Amino acid sequence: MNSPLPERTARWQLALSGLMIAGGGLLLGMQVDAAGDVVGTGYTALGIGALVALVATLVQASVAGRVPRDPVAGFSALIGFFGLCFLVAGVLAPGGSWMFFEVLLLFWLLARRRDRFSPGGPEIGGGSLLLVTLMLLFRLWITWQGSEHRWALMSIDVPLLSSISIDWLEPIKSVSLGSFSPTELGFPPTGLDFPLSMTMWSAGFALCAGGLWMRGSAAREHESDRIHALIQTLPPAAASLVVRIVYEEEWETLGLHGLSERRLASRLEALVAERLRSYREVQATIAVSPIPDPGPGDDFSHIVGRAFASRELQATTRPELQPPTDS
Amino acid sequence: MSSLLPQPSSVSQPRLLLVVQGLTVLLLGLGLWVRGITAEKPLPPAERPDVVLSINEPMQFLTAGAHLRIDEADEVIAESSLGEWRSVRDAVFGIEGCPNFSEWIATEEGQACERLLAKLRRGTPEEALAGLALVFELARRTDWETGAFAGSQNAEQLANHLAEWLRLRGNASVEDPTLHEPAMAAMVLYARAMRMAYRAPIFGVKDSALERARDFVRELTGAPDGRLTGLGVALQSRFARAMGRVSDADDPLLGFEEDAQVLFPNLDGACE
Repeated sequence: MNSPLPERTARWQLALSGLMIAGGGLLLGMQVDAAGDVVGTGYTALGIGALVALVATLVQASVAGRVPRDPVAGFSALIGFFGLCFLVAGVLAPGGSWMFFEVLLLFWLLARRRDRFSPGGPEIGGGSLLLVTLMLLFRLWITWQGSEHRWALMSIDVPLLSSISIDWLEPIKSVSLGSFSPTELGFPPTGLDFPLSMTMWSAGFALCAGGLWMRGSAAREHESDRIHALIQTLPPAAASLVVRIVYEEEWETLGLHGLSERRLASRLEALVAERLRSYREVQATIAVSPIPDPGPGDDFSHIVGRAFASRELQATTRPELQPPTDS
Repeated sequence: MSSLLPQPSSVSQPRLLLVVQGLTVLLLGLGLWVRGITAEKPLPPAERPDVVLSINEPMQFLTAGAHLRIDEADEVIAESSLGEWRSVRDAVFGIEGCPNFSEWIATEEGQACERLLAKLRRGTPEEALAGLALVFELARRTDWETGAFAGSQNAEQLANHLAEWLRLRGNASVEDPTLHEPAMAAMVLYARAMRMAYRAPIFGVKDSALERARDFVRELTGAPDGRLTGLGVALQSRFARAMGRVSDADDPLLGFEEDAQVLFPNLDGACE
């Protein structure tokens, strides 16, 4: 080993993303009632969020069958789980049939198999983020309706009837769509301070979503750190050669993230050997294909094209080899 | 070597990192715990186990059977006001023939009643209750019905007396076992009187009455801005549906009037 592994930014990113997720979870777990007291949003939605996050974690991890390899990756997976759990719990409609429809949608979107292994815990993509944002807006809408004591998604006035000022016509003056009750919304007995609660939920959602995004980036960075650390155990010249042959940008797509140290070493070895062989073949090809000096205005592709053309010409003018005779 | 390997970051601060991670764990725990905080419905002061009531069942002083218990108030009125109290009490509880509210209040007895009411609402909770009992009895024994010929003057005058009481004692009554329920009853009757005033004209409505009442109710309860006053919380707990209507721009008092019809079915301005 040449030098101790330098402290990298991945740990800091992970720590900050964890702080964001925890802060967001705290804000999403609170509401303020009309008397100004803090009331919890309950464990029902959190339980469903935990279920969605658990299934998403298991399904995504089963794609490559990999688990966190060190405490940092374990911490990352844990905060990823909590982040998804809080995010889902924060956007779900508080109860009723709406909630179960949303849960089905979330299962389909978050807990399906991915082509790519996400290191250390579940990830949330752009499409999923858009969907949960829409769900948050829906939750805020019905909560606002409830805070105004309108217990329906919307109410449509019946033309003509609605303009007649007679009390006994009240029940048929408007049609309510998608009705719900205060119990479904989990409102405190004294009602909800909507502006304050909405601000807390929105801030909590932004913190959780931002934290999850940052965690995904930091988890990749941390996996790259592990690979760097392994490469650094080689002699300096060999280590330099390896990172020149297998670029860091490729490590994730080559499936190096999340591998155990032993499998990582053997995979790197195989990759280096395979690429060196390819380089040698290319070098050999170039050696027997004289490349003329570039003329004015020639670009590299023209030069290579001419070289191959001349090589083809040589091949066609070369006398054919005679089959060996028995004598 | 010209290294492509990771370079050391500027500062290594493992201790600070540990602090951040510790704070994260703390916040995670707090985020889980806070979800379990439940809101309990506020218990009326009279129902709290440690409360000693000076007047048992104070709402009976506001209902139709008030004349059966009104003498009990003699024991709680200050000595200096006792004579005046007995005189006014007898006058109010002795009203016969359903006189017009505004006409009766303009009489000598009516003016004495107004003076006593002003004194009582500034007094002890028991005295304030006695004053409110007088207003409710007036509402029961005088005519404040609205209509094409009656107008809205009587209903608005009655509502003014209730508003004066509520303005002074409304929010302070929330934690008082004697006045907790009567204060809410005063609000309900106020809303009914003002809504009747609003609907008094045959053609159209009296918007000024509604606007005054709406502003007053909203100021007193804190609805619909979200942050309720003490009285607002008590009303929300007891008359949730009516409080829900307060934010209604067209008819904010409808809910309270519907509750008044249930609580005081005979207090409709037409004498019992």
